Amino acid sequence: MLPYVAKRSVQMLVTVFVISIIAFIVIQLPPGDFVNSYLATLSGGQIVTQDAVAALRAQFGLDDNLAVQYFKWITNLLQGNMGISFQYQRTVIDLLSERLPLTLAITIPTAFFVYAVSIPIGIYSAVRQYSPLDYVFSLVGFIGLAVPNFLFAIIMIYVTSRYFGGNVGGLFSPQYELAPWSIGKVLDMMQNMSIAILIIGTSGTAATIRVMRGMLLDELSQAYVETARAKGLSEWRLIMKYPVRVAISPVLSTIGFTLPALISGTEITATVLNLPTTGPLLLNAVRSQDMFLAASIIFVLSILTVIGTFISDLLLVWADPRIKL
Amino acid sequence: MTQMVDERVANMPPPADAAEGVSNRIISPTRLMWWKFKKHKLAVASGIFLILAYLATIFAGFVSPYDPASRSNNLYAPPQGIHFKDAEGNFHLQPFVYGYEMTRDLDTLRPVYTTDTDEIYPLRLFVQGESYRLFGLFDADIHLFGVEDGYVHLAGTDDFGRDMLSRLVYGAQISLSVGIISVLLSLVLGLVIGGISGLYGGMIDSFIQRVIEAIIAIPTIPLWLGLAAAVPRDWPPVYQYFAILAVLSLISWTSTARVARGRFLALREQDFVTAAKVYGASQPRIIRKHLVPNLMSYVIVTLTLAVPNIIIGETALSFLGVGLKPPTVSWGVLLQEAQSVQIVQFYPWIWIGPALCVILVVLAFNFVGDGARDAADPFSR
Amino acid sequence: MSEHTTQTATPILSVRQLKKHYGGKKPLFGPAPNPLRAVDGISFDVIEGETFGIVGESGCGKTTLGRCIARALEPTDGQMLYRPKDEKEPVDLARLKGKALRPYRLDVQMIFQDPISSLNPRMTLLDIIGEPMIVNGLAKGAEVKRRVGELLERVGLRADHMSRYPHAFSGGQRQRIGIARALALNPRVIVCDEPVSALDVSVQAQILNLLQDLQTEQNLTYLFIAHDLGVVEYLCDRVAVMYVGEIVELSDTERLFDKPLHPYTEALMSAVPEANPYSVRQPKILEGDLANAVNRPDGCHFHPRCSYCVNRCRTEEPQLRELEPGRWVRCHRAEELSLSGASDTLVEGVEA
Ligand SMILES: Nc1ncnc2c1ncn2[C@@H]1O[C@H](COP(=O)(O)OP(=O)(O)OP(=O)(O)O)[C@@H](O)[C@H]1O
Ligand code: SF4
Ligand SMILES: [Mg+2]
Repeated sequence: MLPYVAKRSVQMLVTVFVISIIAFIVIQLPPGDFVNSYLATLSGGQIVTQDAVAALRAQFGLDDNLAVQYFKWITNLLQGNMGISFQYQRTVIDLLSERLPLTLAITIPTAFFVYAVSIPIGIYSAVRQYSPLDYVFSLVGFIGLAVPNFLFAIIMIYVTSRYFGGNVGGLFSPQYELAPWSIGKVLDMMQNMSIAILIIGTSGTAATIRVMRGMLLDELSQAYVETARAKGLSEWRLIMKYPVRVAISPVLSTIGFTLPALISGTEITATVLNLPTTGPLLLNAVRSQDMFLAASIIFVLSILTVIGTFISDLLLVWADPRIKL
Repeated sequence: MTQMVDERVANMPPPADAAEGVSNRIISPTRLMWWKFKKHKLAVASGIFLILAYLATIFAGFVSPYDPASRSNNLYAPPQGIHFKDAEGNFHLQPFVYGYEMTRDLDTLRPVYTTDTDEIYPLRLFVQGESYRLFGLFDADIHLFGVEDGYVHLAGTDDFGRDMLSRLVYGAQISLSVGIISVLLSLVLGLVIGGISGLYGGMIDSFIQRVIEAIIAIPTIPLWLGLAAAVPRDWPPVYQYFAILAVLSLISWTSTARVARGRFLALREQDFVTAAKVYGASQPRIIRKHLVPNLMSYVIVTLTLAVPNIIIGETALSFLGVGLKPPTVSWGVLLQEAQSVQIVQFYPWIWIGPALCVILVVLAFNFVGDGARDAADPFSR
Repeated sequence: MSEHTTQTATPILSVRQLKKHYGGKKPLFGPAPNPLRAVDGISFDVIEGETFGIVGESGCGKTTLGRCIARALEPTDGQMLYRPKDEKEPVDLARLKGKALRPYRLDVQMIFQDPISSLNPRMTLLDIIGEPMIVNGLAKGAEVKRRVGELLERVGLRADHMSRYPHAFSGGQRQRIGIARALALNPRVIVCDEPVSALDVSVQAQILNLLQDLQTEQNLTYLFIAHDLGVVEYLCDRVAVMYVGEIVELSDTERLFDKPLHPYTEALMSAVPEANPYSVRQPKILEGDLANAVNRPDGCHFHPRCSYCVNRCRTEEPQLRELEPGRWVRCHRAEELSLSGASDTLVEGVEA
């Protein structure tokens, strides 16, 4: 176990390093350096001293070559200094600490939702292959696969406003918007979040149902299942006892793909539903080429998926020692 | 195992051209794959649908009744229904649409359209209408269908009174081609990088693997957003189109590369590759003649399944306003209208049209991909 | 055939101290691990026109050895001195690479075990058998077609099947195609890596007879890898017995089967089940598993499984030595032991 943890940690560090380079490229790509963009966005009234400009340039080494710039950027980053957002005139870390919790508060429950829903459905669909419900789930699965999150969000807005006269979007309904915290307000927030979770979770669920169903079908066709059946084990006991346990590990290990997809979904859904996650922040940053903010958000989100995948990998190995280390 | 293969070959339906007889039944692996694919009815139907959709984009000017940019006085008009029976109950052999009658909701000032059953515009095939350029080469003015006088808006109109159906067809030109071209780009990238990774192994391989892992770990939409930010806003539409293409491909090559690498590794160990080495075939020749042909079917499957992601990517970026921009027409650009709650609620046809197009095409590619995946290995169950 | 096996004949191929190790490279952190010694210091001579057998359990390194000789693998160390037809001086195939190796590649070809994976499923027989000629510039266009047709007929297939794909053929037919491909370059030496072990018994005999016919016709030299002693006794002039990457006994077939000198050889022979002399998949008398090629036992590598093991065997590694003329053995106790052969338990030859 320990060598595995060590090996995975080294791998993770390398991955994080590559991600940081990609994030740095994102900063560098737009034409012009950021101090110039910064100055350009300042409104006429503000006065920036030459010294302040020079200090900024020096801090991020804008006059050095790219390698040095990267080095300065990453050391700053590791010390928690992610630069400033010239659009908001605040430090990036400040903005992130305001927005990131909601991103997590939506993504993490969604991840649990996805697996909690799709594994039982996957099992049912595999065991009752070609049953009417299996077809229904397949159909739902295909639609979940084909309807992008943001379209789903739009459809939700349309359906609720059209047929329920309700209002989707925002973290709070209008009557709670400015109200002090109360049980009602918390419930209202949870309700709005759960709509987002439902939207984001659906496509993840669709994909995972397919994997679970396929894996379990493979497993059920193995000879040992026949043997156990011949021994007269009850059908459900038999299926739950071994095939499901074998099939579940690879399904859970799809988290490396699922997690980034869920975060992606959270961010774009949040822009449609107007939830104050890092999503709308990122979109604004990108629209105004506020690249330090944009790249920091991308970097932090990616690190979160890497860590999430790492933790789930370790849990998997811990729970199922048969997995090859 | 071999026995099974032979039996299966024997049990296969005879090829369509069996009538020729003389060919004494040479069944190529490609044909085996085709037979296997054909068994998936949904995949075949989806394939036909996609072929028609792509044909429509090639002949966009002909298929669409209007120019996508030409405005009319019918702003925010809902789709017209096609009728055979008029208000008096008379049956018309030729289908027709009714004209609009517009009033304004006095509270909201929104236009409200009702059908004017007195105005009957029969639909005709191959009518003369607005002129367009076919393939950017020939001027033409014959449209697949249309009305001789009056107007036809089968998918409604938008805020400028532009015909949504025409805009959808022209939008498909961009949205569908983005999918294909960008997937071809990622095919090249993925094959080359995955091939290098699989062939050389060692440090190069582990480095490439880490890069791929890193790209997979980065949430796609945020990364696309970050890269798209670099596309200058004042670029001409064509440049922007290619820039967005590049942005989309920069990420989607990873799945191709993974598949290519995996297959390369597996194929490298096959005895026929060893044999080629022993009789002195050069490395490039082995790659060309032995490796690539045997992994192409798998790569094509991954590509088919990658197209929907690219199409969704373009749509999402344009929807968010950082992809393609008007006056370019793509499904994503059309969906930008849905940023307005007004339009979402009161003029749903403006966004449901492009949304439906995206969903149908994505579904179709998924069905084709599923069928193809099954056919990719013609010698398996 | 056996008149060629005297030691005085000049060998066509002399393998000297050949080694192929896997892994063992120093990682980023920590010490270098022990390499896997798939082939570890093997030496033998092959005489032109003979069939030289290599036997041993699964995983003992037979395929690795064969692939090194056909230069599908690059040996880690050692020499493979090959004597080309018109040249007096032998060349060391182990040292040559790329272009320099090419002319000699024509002379050493290979036949594989797995009838499925040995043929490219996306090529027709014409392409499969014709490619060696095209690659080496031996023939072009219609000439390729003609020669492929001849080869197909020579191996017992129909020339007009050359535009078919491999999936249309049975296992035995596929092995014939593989043989035709190996013959395409008019080689002098063919490494046959268990060419019949994936086939039904009835088909095995046909393929073995074909190989024998081809050998007499074209004066081919075979390196015949097998783990089936019945096949080896039927086909081979001399046999090398391998255990974890080393030769433990080398002898002419007749004397080997009559009275083996190494306990491992005896164990292999006693394992031949009476009912079916052509399959030794499960040697019964051999207890325990093949030694680990990464961490081999000290002393004689075979000692944990040897029923004649004495103290000396546990500490001192025996060397390969010539006990009688033409009979080599790697065992401390070879002189004193009197081991039983297998000839009497085996059916005489294979009549097809
Ligand atoms: N590419 C490789 N990398 C690492 N180890 C290898 C490699 N190829 C073979 N080996 C190892 O080398 C040893 C010898 O393998 P080899 O295939 O030569 O055995 P064999 O005698 O041909 O067995 P079989 O009868 O099963 O064909 C085995 O332990 C095998 O695991
Ligand atoms: S040396 Fe000893 S252990 Fe090895 S084979 Fe001979 S008797 Fe057996
Ligand atoms: Mg072998």
